[in-house]
Amino acid sequence: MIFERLTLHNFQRYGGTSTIEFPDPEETSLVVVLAPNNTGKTTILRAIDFLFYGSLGGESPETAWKVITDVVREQVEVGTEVQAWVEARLRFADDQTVTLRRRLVARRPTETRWMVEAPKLLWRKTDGKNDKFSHDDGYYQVKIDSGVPQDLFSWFYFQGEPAGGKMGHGASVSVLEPLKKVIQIRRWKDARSNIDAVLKSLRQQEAKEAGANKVFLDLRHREGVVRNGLEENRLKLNGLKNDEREMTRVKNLLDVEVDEVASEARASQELNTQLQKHKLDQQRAEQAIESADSQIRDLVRTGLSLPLISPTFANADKHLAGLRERNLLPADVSKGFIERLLKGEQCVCGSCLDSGMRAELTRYLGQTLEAQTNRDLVALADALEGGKDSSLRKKAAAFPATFTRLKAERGAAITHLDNAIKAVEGLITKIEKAPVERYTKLVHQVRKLEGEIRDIQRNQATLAETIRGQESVLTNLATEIAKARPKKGAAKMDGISKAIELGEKVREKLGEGERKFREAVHGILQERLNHYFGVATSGNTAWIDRENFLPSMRDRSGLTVTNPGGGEQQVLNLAFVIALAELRTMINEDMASAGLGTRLLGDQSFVLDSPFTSADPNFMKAIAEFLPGKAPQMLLLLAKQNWPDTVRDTLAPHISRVYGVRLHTSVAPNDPEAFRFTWKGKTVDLREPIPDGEASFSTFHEL
Amino acid sequence: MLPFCSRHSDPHKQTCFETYAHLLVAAAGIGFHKAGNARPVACRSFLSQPFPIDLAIFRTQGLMPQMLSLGIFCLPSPDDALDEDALAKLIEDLAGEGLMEMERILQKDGMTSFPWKLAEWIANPPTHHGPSL
Repeated sequence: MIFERLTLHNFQRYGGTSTIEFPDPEETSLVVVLAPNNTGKTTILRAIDFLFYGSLGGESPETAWKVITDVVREQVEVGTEVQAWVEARLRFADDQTVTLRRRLVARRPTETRWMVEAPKLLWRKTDGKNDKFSHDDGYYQVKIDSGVPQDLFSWFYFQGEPAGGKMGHGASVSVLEPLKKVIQIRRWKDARSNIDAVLKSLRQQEAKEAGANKVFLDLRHREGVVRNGLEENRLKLNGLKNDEREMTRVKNLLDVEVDEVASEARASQELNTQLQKHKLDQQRAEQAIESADSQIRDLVRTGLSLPLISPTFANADKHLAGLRERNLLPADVSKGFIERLLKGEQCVCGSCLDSGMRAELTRYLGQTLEAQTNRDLVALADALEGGKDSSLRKKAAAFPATFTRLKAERGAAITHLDNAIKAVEGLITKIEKAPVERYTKLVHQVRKLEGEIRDIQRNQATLAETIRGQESVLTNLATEIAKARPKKGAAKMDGISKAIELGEKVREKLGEGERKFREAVHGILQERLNHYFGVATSGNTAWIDRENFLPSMRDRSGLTVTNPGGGEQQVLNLAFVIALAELRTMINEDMASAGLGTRLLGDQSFVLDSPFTSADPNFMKAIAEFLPGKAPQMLLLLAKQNWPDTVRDTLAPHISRVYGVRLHTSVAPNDPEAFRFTWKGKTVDLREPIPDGEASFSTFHEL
Repeated sequence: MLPFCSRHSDPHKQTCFETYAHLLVAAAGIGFHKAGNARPVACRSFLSQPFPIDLAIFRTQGLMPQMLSLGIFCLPSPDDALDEDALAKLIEDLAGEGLMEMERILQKDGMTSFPWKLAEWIANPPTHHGPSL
């Protein structure tokens, strides 16, 4: 069902008449209603619920008058009546368009009492100024109930999440039962029950006819046991095939991912080789720096500031030369030796020491150096001897050159070290980002899955063999049963047997049909869900359970994500109900084309009240990106917190109309900003002051 | 400066001076240049308790040639260099001046860079125009 127009009149918060016009579904089909908190967003959902099913939104039939807007009710004079109604122009799947109105009339017999008629569904005979409405005789109510059964209402018209957010793991009966109804699984069960009842009756007749023929009855009993076993094994085999398909699907997803990360992992191996080379460079540069540091210490140690002392060498040379000239250096004889000579009478050569000689020796004695001093000066002479080639001079001269060389070597080593460190750090960052660990994990998972798939295939082969055996046993039993069939009343027995045989075939076909139908439903839901969910999220994938057809999410490893958070579950559930609406229409169309019922389902409208409430900002944007174009008609009811710039900018190109809910109130708001909404560059204040003491009410207007 | 002298406890540790005597001779060379290739102000004027050095230690370390060369150059008469007391006092004064410069380098550049900065100072000494004796 598609809305062309929705009008509320004196309904709950909405005093007077307020209308939302919906664009042609062929065009942009997104309509937004902006409403400050507690001004009537959810009332629109309640209004649709009231229109479709006459729901009173929590009021009992006795208090149903409360559905009428307070401010309107207060003005009703005693003895008169007042109406509240919700009206919609609806287009059904069969392209019939009709204006339907659900009306509630309340009469005020006294100041404090109200009498209310049960809400009635009316249909408009003519469009125009002279409206004529007729009571629905049930025709349109059936159409509504078929289009959106009441227990599915919250799947398509909901606050927050569809079906009250009860989908997914641990879904309650309140979710599972409507879902079974949507998918029409019950029809298969009903058909099987019927055929089981027929077979039971036929077997009872046959047993009665067989009478005391124990052999025949035993054979029939054995046949029943084998048939039950066969059915059980076929179910098991089907389960194994499903398991294999599921695992193969996970494996295929993993294979794709393995291929994606394999090249990156291979590239990281090359990076590792480069890393080793640069680490070696780094090590060599560090060694070169250490070596230069060590050599500079050696230079200081052996150099002993000689370049600074070298200016003194010339003076020392001159002084030493003077000492040599005076025959004092090196000393020919020691001071003690001269002293000993002077104490004696004669020289070492044997000649007598005359006074002249003694005077000469005494003068020499005055000039001679102490032995230690002599040795010190000889050492100095040795160190300076040879002019520029002397050890002290050589060391002094070599010092600056050695320093310059070492400084250059160290500078070059530092440059190498810096380059190597930069290269190493860059490579480590790249390698850390490289998915080597993930690749290994993925390959391990793929191998594990391959092993499990092989096990399942082996089990399938074994089971298939058992099934063939059971089928063979059944064929043999059929021959034996035919032989053992009592001769008395053969024609009747033959007829019953044929009927049983036919019944079993039908039963078998029904089982096979249900399996195929389930597979088809699963396949369609899975494909549509992948289509819708895949574009809205990253990483996780959506899965449909083969038993209950509910959606779940799995991560890259195929593990179920139980609490994704952030709003991803919300996207999944939205994608699921949209996929489900499509599936529902497809099933209905197929059944209608097969002559089973009429075409009741077509395009489905959705009303989403605060769909971003439990989503974080990233997923708010993701949901906003997801919604446009997903359903033929979508009405979004949004409060201020659901209308941030990101949502507005994302939705804007897809929105055909925007309505604002204006609150008429005498109460000054605590937060005036909560009433200001921006659309197309203009900011609108959705609060309308009214005189003090008057009751508040809401209206909506196109912005 | 002691951390830059080798120690008996860790003779293999790379150091800048084999002994304290080597440190003083190296410092004397720096002080000599710092004072403008002359004898600086006597260290008595800035050290309240100068410790005299034993020349025998310098002899055993083969450091007398440098000391004598400095003595012959700096003392009023070259023969004064043969006076151990006079020579010792000269080396003390020179080393005092040199150690002050070395301390300045150490404070400025830190322990790690000290050998490099000291070597640079020796290889390319700043120009001084100090008083000469």
